[in-house]
Amino acid sequence: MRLLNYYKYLFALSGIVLLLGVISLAVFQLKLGIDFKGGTLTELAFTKSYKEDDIRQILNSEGLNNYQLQTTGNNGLIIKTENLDKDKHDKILSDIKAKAGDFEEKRLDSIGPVIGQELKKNALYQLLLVSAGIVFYIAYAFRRVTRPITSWQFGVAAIIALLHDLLVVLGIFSILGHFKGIEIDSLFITAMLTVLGFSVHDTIVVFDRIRENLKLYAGQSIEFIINHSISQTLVRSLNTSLTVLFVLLALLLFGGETIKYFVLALFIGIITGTYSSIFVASPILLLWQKWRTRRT
Amino acid sequence: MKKKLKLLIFLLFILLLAAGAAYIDYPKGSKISLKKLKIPYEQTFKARLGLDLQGGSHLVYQADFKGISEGDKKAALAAVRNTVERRVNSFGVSEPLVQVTGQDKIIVELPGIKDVNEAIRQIGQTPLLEFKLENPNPPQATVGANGQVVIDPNSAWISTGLSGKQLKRATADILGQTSGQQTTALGQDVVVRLEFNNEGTKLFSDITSKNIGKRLAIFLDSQIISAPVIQSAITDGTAIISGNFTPQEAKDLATRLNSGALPVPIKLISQQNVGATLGRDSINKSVIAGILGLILIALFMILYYRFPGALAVAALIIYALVSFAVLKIGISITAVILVGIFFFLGLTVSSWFGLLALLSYVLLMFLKGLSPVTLTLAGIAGFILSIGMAVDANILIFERLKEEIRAGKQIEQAIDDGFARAWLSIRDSNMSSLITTLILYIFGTPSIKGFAVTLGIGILISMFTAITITKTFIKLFVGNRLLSHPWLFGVSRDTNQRMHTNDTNQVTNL
Repeated sequence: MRLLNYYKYLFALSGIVLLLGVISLAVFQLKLGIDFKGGTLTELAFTKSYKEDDIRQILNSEGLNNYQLQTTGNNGLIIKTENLDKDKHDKILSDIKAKAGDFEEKRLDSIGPVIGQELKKNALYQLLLVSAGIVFYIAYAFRRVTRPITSWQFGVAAIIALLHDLLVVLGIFSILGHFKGIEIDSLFITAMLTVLGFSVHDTIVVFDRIRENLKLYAGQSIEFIINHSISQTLVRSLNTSLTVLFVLLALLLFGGETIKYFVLALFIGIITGTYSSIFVASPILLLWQKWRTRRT
Repeated sequence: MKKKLKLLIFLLFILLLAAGAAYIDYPKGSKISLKKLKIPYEQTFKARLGLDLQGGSHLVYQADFKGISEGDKKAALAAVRNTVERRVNSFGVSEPLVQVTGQDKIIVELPGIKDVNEAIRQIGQTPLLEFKLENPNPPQATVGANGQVVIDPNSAWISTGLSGKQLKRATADILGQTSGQQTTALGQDVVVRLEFNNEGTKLFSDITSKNIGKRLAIFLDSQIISAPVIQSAITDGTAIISGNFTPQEAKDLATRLNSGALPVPIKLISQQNVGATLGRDSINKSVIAGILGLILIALFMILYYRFPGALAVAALIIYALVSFAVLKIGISITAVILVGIFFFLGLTVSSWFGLLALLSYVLLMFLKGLSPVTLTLAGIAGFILSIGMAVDANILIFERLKEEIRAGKQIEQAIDDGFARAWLSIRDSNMSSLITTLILYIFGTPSIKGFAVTLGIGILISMFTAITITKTFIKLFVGNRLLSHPWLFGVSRDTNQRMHTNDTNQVTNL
């Protein structure tokens, strides 16, 4: 399968997605959830239908103007506001009960700015540590010297593929955040890290095969070796991702409401993770090697 | 025959394991009791649900260390934690959690609590007792921005360092009786007697001896309840608060002081409540999603990998049963270390060590040395995700198997070689995921910790079941000529010719 002959098209595709994502990140940035920004999220389940205007009126009269209302299910309502202290929150709820109707408070997430800061800090720690862990892991996995493609090349290509995945998911969620109001919370970070872990090992599977074949088919062209390695591992890569995607699809459609975007992030991440091992990391190796040999 | 026998024993073993796991997995909770064998062991296995599945509250309080020196902070925080815990225990919540986190925060978890607001009120109500002396240099009244004269009421007093922290006991008392003095005609003086601990006694003695003639104000929850003049040095560590109490008032005050004089004030900075209905909803949805996912995977595996695929699905179901049972039975650090070592030895030295791994786990279970894993919603997602990833190992093995068969090896040899080479791949590829789960566990919120634990355990157990169970299944059916047809393994017909030769040279496919 002469997959890599089409690398120009593959890069174009990646390029477009990446460009859109990066532009969105620069312009719209990410919509941070209350985990990081602080705020109060109240989910109410009304017993009968209610008038949204009543709710707005009450919130406005409390001096809140930066709030979000989101309907869910039957007569369900999610109210996202800035961080309310307990008394204010209780007052608003009793006002709503009096004016709009009876409800059950299904859940309440009230995060003060202190906790928000801490969660942000922890998220950054996690990102740094996992990235460091992955870099070390790649260095360890590729410690044996190979020719003509060096361990260094493998490592860098793998990391570039990872960055690609990171940017694609962040970009997509930035767009979703702007147009559909989907927020980033600490579960999202978890999804990202899991995706990174998954993508690395997928990339390494392909690279391991390339290294094996570099030895086995020593005389052949780099192009041939890489193509062959890809065709050998393609089935396995796709099938593995497919089974995980099945499971995620089931969770997406039937799983709990609160983890929906967590599952979505995993879903998107695993798709790009698989894509990047084959269509980003390998072409980079090829191009890099060609560029090296052209110079000598 | 001997090899076949060994395999059959193995199979029996696996089926027993599956049956045992299924029994433990029974949703309503299962019980194992050895009382009939005169062994005093009985244990009930129920899934331990996190707050977001069971309903409940997660509260975070921040301590205000104003006036506490650096070295005392840790002790003060620990004391506050103890106090809050005493309060929380009276709520009637099963398995509440009160713990210190960071330098200045306390987490309170109340699973299944019915009235959160009442709980918060009671926690917050814990009285703050302080002793303050008159400030010899009170700041002058200042003129505020809008022309008002401003006097800061708090600046009239300065803290002495004597507070509820050093309080050993408070008792409601009637002065006349205990001190032996004559009581007044109108009634007895109802007071609250305070006893300080050693440190408090010293401090109190210090304060009173150095400030005779000055006022010592007693603040309760930032309000002065009494400000008597110090008559003499008090060295026996007892103080008396009198303030026209009725007997009931005195008793109440004493109880409040006893059940916890908060050494430092705390503020509620974060609150997360999940209603019970949402929790139950989430569980139901997760179960449906899990079963659906399993069905999709089963369809795919059987359609694509045919016979070995079906075996892999059987192994997968056993994996799911065993994995969930482990989550229910629980884990501990000892368990992880013991099982890990034996498992590693089992792979490298002899497969009998694998048996030891299982036995040591069961032993720990009987010794009740394991604590169940707390399942959160993200945790269940992690478990379901691990089912999807568990298949990965099998796919790896099958692809290798197909390669070995295409290369012309005999089926038996192909199986052995395939598994051997696949194992290295499986081990390496799961390593990066395991590193991620470790880091997530260390730094994550409880919800994320749940995810990390279930995913991590899932990956580890799946490595075990993929190698042992799938291999056993496949090897068992190898002898049967009918079932060894390469087509069943997904290998196309033209390579079938090479299968039956004894030629073990690799044929290169160029």
